[in-house]
Amino acid sequence: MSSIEKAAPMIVDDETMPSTPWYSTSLGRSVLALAVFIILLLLWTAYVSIAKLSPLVLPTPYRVWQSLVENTLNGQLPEHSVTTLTEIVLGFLLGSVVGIALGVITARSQLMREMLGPYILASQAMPKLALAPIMVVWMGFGIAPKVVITALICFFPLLENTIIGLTSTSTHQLELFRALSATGWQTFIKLRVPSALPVIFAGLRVAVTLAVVGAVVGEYVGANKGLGALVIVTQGSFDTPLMFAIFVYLTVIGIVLYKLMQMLESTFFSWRTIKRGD
Amino acid sequence: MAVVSELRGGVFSPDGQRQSRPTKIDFQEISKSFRSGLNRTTVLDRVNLKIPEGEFVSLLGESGCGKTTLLRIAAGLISPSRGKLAIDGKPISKPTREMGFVFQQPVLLEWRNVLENLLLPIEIFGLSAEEYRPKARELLQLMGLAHTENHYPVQLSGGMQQRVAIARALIMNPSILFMDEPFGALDAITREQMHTELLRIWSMSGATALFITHDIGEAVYLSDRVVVLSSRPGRVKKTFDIDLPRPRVPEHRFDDRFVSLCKDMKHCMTQ
Ligand SMILES: Nc1ncnc2c1ncn2[C@@H]1O[C@H](COP(=O)(O)OP(=O)(O)OP(=O)(O)O)[C@@H](O)[C@H]1O
Ligand SMILES: [Mg+2]
Repeated sequence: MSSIEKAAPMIVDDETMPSTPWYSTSLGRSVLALAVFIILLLLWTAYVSIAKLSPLVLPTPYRVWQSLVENTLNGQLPEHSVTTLTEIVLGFLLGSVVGIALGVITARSQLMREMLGPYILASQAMPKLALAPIMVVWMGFGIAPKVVITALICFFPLLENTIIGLTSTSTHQLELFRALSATGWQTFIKLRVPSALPVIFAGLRVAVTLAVVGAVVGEYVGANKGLGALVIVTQGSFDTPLMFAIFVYLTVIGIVLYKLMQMLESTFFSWRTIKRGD
Repeated sequence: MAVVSELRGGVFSPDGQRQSRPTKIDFQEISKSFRSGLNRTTVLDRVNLKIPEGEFVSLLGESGCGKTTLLRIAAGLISPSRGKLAIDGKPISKPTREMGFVFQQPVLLEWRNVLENLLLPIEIFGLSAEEYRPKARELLQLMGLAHTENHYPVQLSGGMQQRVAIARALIMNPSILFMDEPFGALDAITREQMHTELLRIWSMSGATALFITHDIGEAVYLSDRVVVLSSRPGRVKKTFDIDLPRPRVPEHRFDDRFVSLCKDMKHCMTQ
């Protein structure tokens, strides 16, 4: 979603960029994005009318918009969104907390690493979404199985990134702490954790987008509420415009959650976005 | 200057008395070899060296001859393969709190600003950061970094970062100061200013200093004694007593005695 943003340099050096091109200003960027959006909608509309597609196969953007407005105003989409969002948030929190906790334990203890390593790898290779049917068998059609699936999906990026972050501390900085006779705990709290935080946050960003997938796929398998359950219903009733309206909702939810993570991250790392030279 | 008065731990005695001081750091037949694959390379070979308390000693040698390794052994960061190391007559196995370190790289914590980096040793020693803040500010002033206390390491030049590292080493009034090419990243002018400041702080503190450099002029200007190491394996090739008067002033660099010492050392190193 934002590989471009990630690749962009964290430190902006004003001196090396005397003139910003118009498309890099915030107004220019919005204009560009809007233009691309309009072109896509026009192409989409043109394709539907030229190919004479039935709205059952591909509705025009306008039909989608109508359905979106209608089902938002009658409360149907917001209501199902609340269910899905609840699953996403609970699953994300559960998976992240357990993932980080187990990551910390594994990173701190060589024994744990040796003991759990193969199982972590195996469970990572196993496609978690494939477990959705059995979760429904075990936990029924409520939100519990979706929360568990979402948590499972979020768990691994955090486990892995926590271990990587905590064990890849710079050897020079470790030597500094040794020179200062720091205790193991001080080294952990004042060195390993702060230098692992960017990696852990990268894991959170991955997890939050995966969480949306987890909740929706969980609902596909068996649910009576939630946006995923609604997709299955629209499939049965051939209400394709509503199905597209749901996709719009899911995309917006994904983007909002991702942006929230980014905001949280930038409050933690104000030092990374500081500009050079003032 | 308050820093300076606080630093007054030991007594600076005139040249003549230095020889009679007790040995602070004692290297006895120190050897170190590293294993790389199947073969072992000997980096240090039976190094013997006694550093009296309060003396400023420089290690001089070409790149890769084992200077950093010898310093890390002296600090207890690594142990020698053979031989013994004693500080104040006691064998040492790990760093102690009386030591101050300046590494070859600045090694700052990038998520802390300058002032917070300076106060790291204070926090780790469990002292009150609040109490040491004025002293930290004074050291920054001394290093010409007063305006940067809220800057983060990414905002500083390499030389500025290294000066922060020096200030961090000084904040605890160490009685032993280990410095590994601390001025390597500085320009000639700043370097001379730093020499003056370093000598001032050192002479007031009475600390024992072990200083690494491959700049002959720097070694002569700062030191009571310069130890020239040979390469592969590192051995003590020759020790020079620097009998220039203290306090040292920049004009000393043009003294005949200064120049001839530099020449002798240069000759010794290229031999
Ligand atoms: N941990 C290590 N493992 C293997 N070899 C090492 C290790 N540390 C140092 N060496 C080797 O020991 C030799 C001396 O290294 P050292 O860092 O002490 O050199 P130096 O005199 O400080 O050089 P410079 O002036 O370039 O800093 C080098 O050849 C280096 O490759
Ligand atoms: Mg070195």
